[in-house]
Amino acid sequence: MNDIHGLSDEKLMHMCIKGDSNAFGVLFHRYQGKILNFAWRYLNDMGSAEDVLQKTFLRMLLFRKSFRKKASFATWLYTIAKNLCWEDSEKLRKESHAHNENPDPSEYERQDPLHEVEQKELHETVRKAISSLPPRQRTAVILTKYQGMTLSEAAMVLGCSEGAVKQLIHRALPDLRKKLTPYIRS
Amino acid sequence: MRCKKSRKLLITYIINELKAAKREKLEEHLASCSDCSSELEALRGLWDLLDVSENIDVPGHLAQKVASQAASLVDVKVESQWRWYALQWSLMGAVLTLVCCILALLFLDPSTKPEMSYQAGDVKIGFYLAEHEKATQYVSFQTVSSTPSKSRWIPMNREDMFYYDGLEGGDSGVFLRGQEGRRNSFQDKNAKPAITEGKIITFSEAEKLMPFSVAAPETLGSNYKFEFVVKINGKECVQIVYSDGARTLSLFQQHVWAENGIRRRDFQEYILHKAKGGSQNAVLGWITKETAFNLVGEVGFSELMQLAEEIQEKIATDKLQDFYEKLYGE
Repeated sequence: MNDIHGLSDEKLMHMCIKGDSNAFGVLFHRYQGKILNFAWRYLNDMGSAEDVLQKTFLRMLLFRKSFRKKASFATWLYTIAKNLCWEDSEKLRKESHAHNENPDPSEYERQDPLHEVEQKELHETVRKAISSLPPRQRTAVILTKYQGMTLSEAAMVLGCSEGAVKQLIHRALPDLRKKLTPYIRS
Repeated sequence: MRCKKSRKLLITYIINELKAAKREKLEEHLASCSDCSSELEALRGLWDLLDVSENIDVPGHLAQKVASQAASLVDVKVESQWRWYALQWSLMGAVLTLVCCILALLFLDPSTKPEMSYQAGDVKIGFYLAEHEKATQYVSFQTVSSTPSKSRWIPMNREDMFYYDGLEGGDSGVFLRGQEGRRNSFQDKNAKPAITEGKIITFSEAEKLMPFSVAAPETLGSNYKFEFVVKINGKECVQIVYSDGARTLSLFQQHVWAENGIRRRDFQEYILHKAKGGSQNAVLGWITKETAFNLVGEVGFSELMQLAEEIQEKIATDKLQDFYEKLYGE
């Protein structure tokens, strides 16, 4: 019991399937921050990100029996979070269309970097640039850049090949560059 | 290597996932191509810029909320085999007691029929409304005696099932299913109760899926707040989950004539299953014109009864309207 914190994610997950609540506690402690940050970067909305964090761990418990023995726990959990983010994002998109509040894509181009020297604003701009990417490109960038995943791990989460993940990141870069180039120079 | 191919490899190079052979060739090309070299620097600058977005911490209240919701879903591990043996012994004891009772009923004068006895720690449920008092006329103790109780109070063990139901003839009444039900439950000790498997859905999805108006008051009692809705796998039934931060309360709903709904036996299995992990859930069931409700929680029967009445009162009024608008709006 004392060594539970030293166990692998997969071992803990199998204990959790058998009904060990301590194992769940350790897994939750390990991944709560990662999942919240993943969702926050994806959705660019703290309230929705918190919802995704909650739902991810509840789904993880409800569907714990579907976790396969040889699977990686991290990629399985991120797959749940990714699906929830995609669902949420679609809902947010529809709502923003309904309220005609969708941001103008050229908004970034109109912004003058000289007036946005505050670091906080730079953070916001980067987040906006990422959250404006198409869902799969966005997921690929967040997983590899912020979640420290390898291409093969990101491929498992996205359900595609490593080559496809490279393609997704490759396609995302021109968009990001268009929106962020002024800041790179500064 | 040509520039076109080199450009395609740059991002893989930056994230350090390029294989040795390709890396070598790319580096050779970069050394001799200033265009590709400056493209690499631009991309690296862009990739590094993304680092300004720092990580955030999980708010304490959120971690606590998820942990408490999760606690109701994780089955606590049975610590050792002796509990199972204890259960078997108690079952054998219950069977022996039942046999003795039957023999006693056969050989004793009906007027001296023994009263049903309950152990210390049993609970009683009060019938404080006029309609409940009427309902007690129809009480049947299926475990020990079939004689209806005339008492205003019904003694109950926490493992009993309590149904405020429509009996034959259409009158409201009370149905008790006691520990005898154990004999029919859990024939496969490894089987999990059907109730424990489900999928979280939105309230509007629940409304679409169920052939009746799903009732979900925003709050129950003084502390319980609405948390989420679960569709039980393979059953025409939804579970509305409430939490007070530490304990959870579930309101199961299905159509009264649901062909593939949750049966009483499922609840019996569920509370026995939970009891193995040390939690003592009680179940209160009742029906309305179109919906069968089952309220399950780690609270006493009297509290369940109060909560059931609160639910009925809220369903009967339009107090839910604002909350539903909020749910649909989400």
